[in-house]
Amino acid sequence: MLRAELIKLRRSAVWPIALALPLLAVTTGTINYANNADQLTGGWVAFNSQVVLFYGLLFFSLGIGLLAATTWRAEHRGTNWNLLLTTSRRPAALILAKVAATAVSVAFMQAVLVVGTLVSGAFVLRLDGGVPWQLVVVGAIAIIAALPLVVVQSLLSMLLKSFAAPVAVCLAGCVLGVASVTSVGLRPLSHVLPQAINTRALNLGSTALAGSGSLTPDGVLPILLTALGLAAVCVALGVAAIRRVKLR
Amino acid sequence: MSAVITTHGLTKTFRNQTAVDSLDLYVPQGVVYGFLGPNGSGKSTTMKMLLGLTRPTSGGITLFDRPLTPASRTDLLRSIGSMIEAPPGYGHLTGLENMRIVQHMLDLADTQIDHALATVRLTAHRDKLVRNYSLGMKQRLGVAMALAREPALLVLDEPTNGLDPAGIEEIRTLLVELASEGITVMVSSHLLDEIDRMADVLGILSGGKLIFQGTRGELFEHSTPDLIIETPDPGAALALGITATPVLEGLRLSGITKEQTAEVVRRLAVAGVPIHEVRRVRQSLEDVFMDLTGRGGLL
Ligand SMILES: Nc1ncnc2c1ncn2[C@@H]1O[C@H](COP(=O)(O)OP(=O)(O)OP(=O)(O)O)[C@@H](O)[C@H]1O
Ligand SMILES: [Mg+2]
Repeated sequence: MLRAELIKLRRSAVWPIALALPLLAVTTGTINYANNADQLTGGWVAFNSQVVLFYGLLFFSLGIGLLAATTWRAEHRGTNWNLLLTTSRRPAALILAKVAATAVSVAFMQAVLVVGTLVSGAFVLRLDGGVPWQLVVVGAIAIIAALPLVVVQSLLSMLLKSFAAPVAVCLAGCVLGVASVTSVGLRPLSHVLPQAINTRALNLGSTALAGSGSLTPDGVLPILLTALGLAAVCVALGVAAIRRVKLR
Repeated sequence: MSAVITTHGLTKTFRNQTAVDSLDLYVPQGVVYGFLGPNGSGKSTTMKMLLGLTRPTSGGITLFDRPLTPASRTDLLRSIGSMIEAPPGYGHLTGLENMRIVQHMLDLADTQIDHALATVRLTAHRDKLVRNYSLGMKQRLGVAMALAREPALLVLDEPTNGLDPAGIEEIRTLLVELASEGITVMVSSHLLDEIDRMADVLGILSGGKLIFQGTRGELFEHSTPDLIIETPDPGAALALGITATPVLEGLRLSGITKEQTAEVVRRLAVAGVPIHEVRRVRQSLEDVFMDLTGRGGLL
């Protein structure tokens, strides 16, 4: 099942999206750092904080919405949906395979971000110091933290059968996410809203966003555990939904 | 002959419209079953219900002697190849990659994929992107995807849609061949002509109702072709009160039985109206079909 999904990723439109968004983040981060070099003296940490600021608040989550919508678009074209539903596969296998395929493109997006940041930091900004391992760890943690959103967006794209609608929902979630991580009143929401979990994961150890957690087990574990738990709950809901919807 | 598909009072209602109305289908094993009906008569909706893609409003379906339920569906689908409304396929992938997707989803062997592609003669085009395929090639790929699992039942919705005469002939030959191997084929069309020469059994739908089910011969028996009476004096015949339409050769009478024919001829002869010839119009199956769907059926 997963192998079938991986074949569908060939020549897919997900790759340009997964390439463009992190490169955009690295570019804006680099320009920001260069323009404020007098105030930002923290080297790698300050530079990376600039890169992940907007990426963490918007690009990453929006990108997941776009990737999920693109992966599902092919299924809603023509009669491919019939093909999927007559394969005699369990609904859960179908959803998990799609989620996994989307997660692969999200992982690629993260790889582009990390590599882009390292290349720009080392060769464009010529930052001092050794290559910061934290960058790679945070990049990897973000992939796991992204799972709830990957599942939610995948389900929305499956059920709404539209490209724009689930992306719009994702964007609304981003706006709410920004509010939840920046305001004290909405802070509890940032622990369960998938977009906000992404923001908090990417900003681990960041100096640009106030209230960011630190890159220690105390900061990391709660994020990873909520992410995995939330993703599992969403998959269960999705399986129930597809059972009801597919025999409409 | 045992039945592969039977339905009892199969009905599907959308909001306020009944798309399929109490169908009792009977599809025997190993035949090509031609499922005919004009646009919107409910062919696709019926086929979707047979595949469990949409739930009947009422009525039941039995496939291979097992009732179709959400629980039995998965198992039954393993031996049913299908194509509904239009061929599936991912345009950004090649024909072979599309077949590989089917292979991985159904755990098929390489040989089954190769065989299916060869059967529809796509082997030479298998590395081309599907979005660059011609309509006929897309249609054939759809059939290959349905065939790959080596089904016992093939449900094809308008597989000849948009094909040229050569393409139609090719599909026709293929389906007849598959049926001769023991595969039951249910194939729909809105053109009788397209499935006339391949179907062993016909089911004709009109407005969601099954108006005929049986062989081609049985269909002819149900219809009464018009009667032509050649006479140089149609006026005299009409003056006798015979209901007929004047035509070039004389008169044309619709829907009259053998007994009624004898009676009309006797009256004309008694009245001294000259009769040169009395004959039935030769009817094509298409005429019968049009007649049937126009009148709203026999059953
Ligand atoms: N999802 C739906 N919602 C509402 N009405 C529907 C739906 N699907 C089909 N119908 C209606 O049911 C009727 C039968 O449609 P169906 O597609 O089964 O016809 P068909 O015989 O396959 O026609 P065609 O030859 O044009 O393919 C039509 O009047 C159609 O408008
Ligand atoms: Mg149809």
